[in-house]
Amino acid sequence: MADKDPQDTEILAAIGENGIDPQQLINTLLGAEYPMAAIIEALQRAIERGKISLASDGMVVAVNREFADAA
Amino acid sequence: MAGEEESSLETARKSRCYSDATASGLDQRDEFARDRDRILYCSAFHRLAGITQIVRAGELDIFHTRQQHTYKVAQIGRRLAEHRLSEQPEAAKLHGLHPEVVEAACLAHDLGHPPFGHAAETELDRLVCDPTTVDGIKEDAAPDGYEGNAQTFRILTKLAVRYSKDNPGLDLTRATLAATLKYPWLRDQSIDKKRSKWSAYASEEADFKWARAHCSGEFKTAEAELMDWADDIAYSVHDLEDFHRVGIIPWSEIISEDSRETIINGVVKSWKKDPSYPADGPRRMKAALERIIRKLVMFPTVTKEVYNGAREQRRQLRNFTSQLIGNYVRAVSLASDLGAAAVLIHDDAVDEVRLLKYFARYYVIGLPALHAQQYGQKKIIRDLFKIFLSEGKAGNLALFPARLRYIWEDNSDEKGARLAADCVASLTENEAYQLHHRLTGTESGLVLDPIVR
Repeated sequence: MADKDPQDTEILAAIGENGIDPQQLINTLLGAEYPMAAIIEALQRAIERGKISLASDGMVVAVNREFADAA
Repeated sequence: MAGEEESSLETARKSRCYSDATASGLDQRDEFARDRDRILYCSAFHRLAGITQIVRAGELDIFHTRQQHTYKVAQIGRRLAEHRLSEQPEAAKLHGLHPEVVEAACLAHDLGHPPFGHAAETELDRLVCDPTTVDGIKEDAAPDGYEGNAQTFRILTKLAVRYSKDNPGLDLTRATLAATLKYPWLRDQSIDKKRSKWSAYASEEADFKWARAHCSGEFKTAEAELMDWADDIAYSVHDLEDFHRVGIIPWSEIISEDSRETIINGVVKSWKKDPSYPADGPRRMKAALERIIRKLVMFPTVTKEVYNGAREQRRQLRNFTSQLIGNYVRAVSLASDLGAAAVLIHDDAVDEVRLLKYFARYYVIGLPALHAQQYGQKKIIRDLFKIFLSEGKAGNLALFPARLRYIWEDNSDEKGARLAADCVASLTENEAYQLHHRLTGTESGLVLDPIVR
């Protein structure tokens, strides 16, 4: 079954290279007219799939960056 | 170490007080794995299922028991060690870091917790220092009182029953014993840091010195540091989880702008009691609170809904706590040389853990029913201590549950208050309640039920 929007790729694009404040990420996705419930669902899904994570400063990051920092 | 000569550090770390390597026979495990398993199987570990930190064991069946907490500490401790071994192999070798030792120390770390948590610990400390308050005499006193960590070391080296009485305790390796020493000193009333926390009593001084013979200064071993941090992580996260699930944590208040100053002032006030309190404490706490609030944004069911156990609530709660634990596990590094603190933990992580602990403590400790419970629990501790002391000294051991008699029989040269405290501290919370009922005559129970087995 296909994932409901927003997709992981869209979330990762919004995060970018340097990470993003979670509220700003949600606002960006709300701006693309996704309903709040769909955004929260997509964020949980992305966390569980190891696509995104919270860095130590609370910013949302693509997972590779977080582990690179930790190493 | 296959194929190379074992270093003197490794030899020292693997040594045991009573038995040597030949005692392992055909055992397929290494020395430290055997330590870990001995702790897991000892009756003091079994007892941890019957005690808690703040709320009584079994109440609502929602709060972590000390045993559930301990399993999580052990898991986090092992992962911390494995992560350091993979990221810093040279430093890990320098410190002799071994995941089995960290896990063993984590499994052991709360064995000395008395029933009813810290309220009882304080009461026992007072009684052991001055048993005259319960009709004892000055000569019964042990001036270094009672402390959960020191009691853990006493259990591991003296009270745990595994072998004959000539071979007391669990006969653990030096490395594992050293890793259990969170506060590697004896009590010293003249020094602040040694007055409130200490990891061994004078009665185990020889074992303490033996365990620490390969250590430098008064620094914890790297393994003890990781155990301590694993305890902090597990405790701060699962206490918050427990109290969130019963609805005690007012998230709307915590995340509101209006309450931030009050929260920060509260944490800072309690932090100031710590001799290492830094001048920029308020700034650090403000930043920590902002980070925690930021970390909560993606999990709105945690902060905006009353917890009822719905699937989505559980999912988001688990995702949130998992992120926190991951952050804190990755916040440590090993020092690259000896002669200083062996593990460095990023200030941001330490500050957040301090804040999370404060949330749980602050909102729970304010509950009036908890105060009433603790008042009664301290009375139970006092009454049992008094009975164990007077009857133990009189040699009236028939009154004692059979499981406790050896404490007096095998340690007759020790202070009465120490032995009475040993008896109280080896009970679960239910055993303490039931034994108290029986010994004070409020409820006899069944004659075929020894209560303590």
